[in-house]
Amino acid sequence: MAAEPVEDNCISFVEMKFINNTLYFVAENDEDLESDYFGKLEPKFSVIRNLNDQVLFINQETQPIFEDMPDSDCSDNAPQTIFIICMYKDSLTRGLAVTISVHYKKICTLSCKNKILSFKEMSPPDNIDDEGSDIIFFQRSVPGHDDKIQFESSLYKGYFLACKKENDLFKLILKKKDENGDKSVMFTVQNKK
Amino acid sequence: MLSLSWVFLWLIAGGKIKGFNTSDCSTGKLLRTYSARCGEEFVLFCDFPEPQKSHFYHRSQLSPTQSSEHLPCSGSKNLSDVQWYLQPPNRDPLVEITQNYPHVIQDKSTLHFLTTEMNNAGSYICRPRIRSPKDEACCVKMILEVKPKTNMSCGSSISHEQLLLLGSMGSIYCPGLSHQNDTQSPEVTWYQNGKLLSEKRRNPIEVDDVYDYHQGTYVCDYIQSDNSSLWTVRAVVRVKTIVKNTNLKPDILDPIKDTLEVELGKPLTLNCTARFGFEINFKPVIRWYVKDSDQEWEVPTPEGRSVKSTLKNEVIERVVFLKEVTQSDLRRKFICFAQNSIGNTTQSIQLKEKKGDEKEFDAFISCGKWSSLESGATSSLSEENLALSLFPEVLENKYGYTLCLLERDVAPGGVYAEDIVSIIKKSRRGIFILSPSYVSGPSVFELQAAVNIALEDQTLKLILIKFSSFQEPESLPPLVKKALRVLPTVTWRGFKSVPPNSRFWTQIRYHMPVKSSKGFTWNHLRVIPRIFSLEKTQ
Repeated sequence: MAAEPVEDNCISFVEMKFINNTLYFVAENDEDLESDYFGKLEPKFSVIRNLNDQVLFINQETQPIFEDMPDSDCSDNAPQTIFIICMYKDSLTRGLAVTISVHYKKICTLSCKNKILSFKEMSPPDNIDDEGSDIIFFQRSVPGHDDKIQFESSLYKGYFLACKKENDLFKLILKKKDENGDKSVMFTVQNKK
Repeated sequence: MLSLSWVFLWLIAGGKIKGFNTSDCSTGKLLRTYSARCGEEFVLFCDFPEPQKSHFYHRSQLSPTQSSEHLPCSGSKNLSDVQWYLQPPNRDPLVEITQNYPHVIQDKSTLHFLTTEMNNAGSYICRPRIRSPKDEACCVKMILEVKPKTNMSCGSSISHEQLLLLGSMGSIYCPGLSHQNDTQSPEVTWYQNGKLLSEKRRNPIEVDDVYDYHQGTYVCDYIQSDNSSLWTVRAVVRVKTIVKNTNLKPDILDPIKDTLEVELGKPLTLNCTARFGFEINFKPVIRWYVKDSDQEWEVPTPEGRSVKSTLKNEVIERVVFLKEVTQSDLRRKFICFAQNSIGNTTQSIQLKEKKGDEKEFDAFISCGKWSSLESGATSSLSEENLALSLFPEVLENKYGYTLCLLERDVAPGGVYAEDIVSIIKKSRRGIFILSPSYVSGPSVFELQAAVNIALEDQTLKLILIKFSSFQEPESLPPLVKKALRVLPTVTWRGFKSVPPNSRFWTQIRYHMPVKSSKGFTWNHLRVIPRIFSLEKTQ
């Protein structure tokens, strides 16, 4: 008959007040506590270009490459040119946390594990329980250039997605940003739909 | 033999500083700077002459007297840790420039002068701190001359602090070189943050598209010839990259609502937070005003302070502190005022007293109708006595609460059900003395009515007293059955519970409302609503 406590409603007491011969306890307000995590929000479908207007796309060998491409070719080459940028809610405030995926044959997500870029065969997860992840990048605009974007790895601080010419190919790589001025880490992101 | 005597002499001559023969130092440069005494900065680089082609040297910088044969510096990379000395122009001894030297900071191998004064002139020598035997004589001497700029006042010529607008084109000008066309302007050597900009040789530096990495401390050198020698004229420019001035008025982020509930007599802190867009000539205004009928005046309060500063915005906060909220404060409006060069914004707050709940009674007591056949031993207190005598004696007389008892406080002649509902609605608490006769008798209607009202009125709370054990009749409405399971219960323990300071009364008082200010409930104890929730299902 006696009242029973509701399930999983444990209370920590943080303070005591002694008033009129009675000891009162003040409960902890833990409504603001959250564990470190990333939580998935909506995705955007985008075309990513470097500052030379070359379009990023995923080739037959699942490699991310930049190439000159007129707009008509760009749409024709979809889904290889369309990148799915998923935004995540960050428990710390460091910038917009995103994953970059592409749906070509299968859904693959960009990973910078060991500072080497590759597209892993996986869908962006709903939650990531960590402060840093090999698939999470912080998308920020270039100061004073609101249309230009940089993507910094959440796992390797100071390392950014960049375009690098290797032999005849312009590849997407992860590199440490050059402090004296580095435009290879800047991109424009055009959202579709 | 000879070497021994040399050492001996050297030791005698040594004073505070381990002197060394500075005349052997390769004279790097003759440097001249113009000082208008506006607090301009200056820098000296320690450029050791390198045996092979240099990364640090621009060809025109080599002093003509330098011969390439006597190059005592080995060119090893460890020469970044250097020691600087000053040989003053008079016969004063060599001074080692340490951390405490006024207005001068050493940053790696560069010597930074925070201001340029006439007494900074002299010969400066730098040499590596850790020297291998072959680097022993490695040192560079440069002669600095500070020339006053008397015909110019501060700020009239090209400034030593220049701004570049991000995203636009811009130029960085070398102070001291007026705007001349290309044919006349001399070749200029530029450095940014200590690094030589080898592609930039003209004045000014033209920037096609300004980025944040263009920010920094720039040094421009050009050659000026005297009759006898070639001087390197040097100036330092601090370049800052900024965004364009905002075209918006400030934004008041807090407060948002027009009214604020406060308690009379208590202290109050009113906070105004405003966000200002970037401006080069930033003169933000943030103030609190008080408006009382027709009069308006500014509240004297500590200055606003910046709480967040980004490239595009600055957030400033200013606080008003009232030691005690008075009746007259409730009549006034508090207005926050924020202004920049575009315009101003205001947000006013009206203080309102936290209202009581307008209920007449602190608690309504419900008990079973007494039947002498059902009470236990006649020496024990009956439930009706508990309700009608003891409760008023303890809660009203001793502890000052206002109770409502149906038998005592309600005029006869009314409709029972309506009376019950009416007094429950006028009470902050409902206290139900449960016993076998209660749950199987007509009074249980009172509990049922109270449960229904409590579901609508969050401020009504119900307390059960377990007077004696009973069995729940099957016929009880489900809502009442649930209430019996979840509502707080205080157990009556007979004589032990009678005294006003017993645990029983302490527990009752724990559940009673606070009497102080018009029934304003004490919200420290969140324990009650969380554990005992009528709506949650088991």
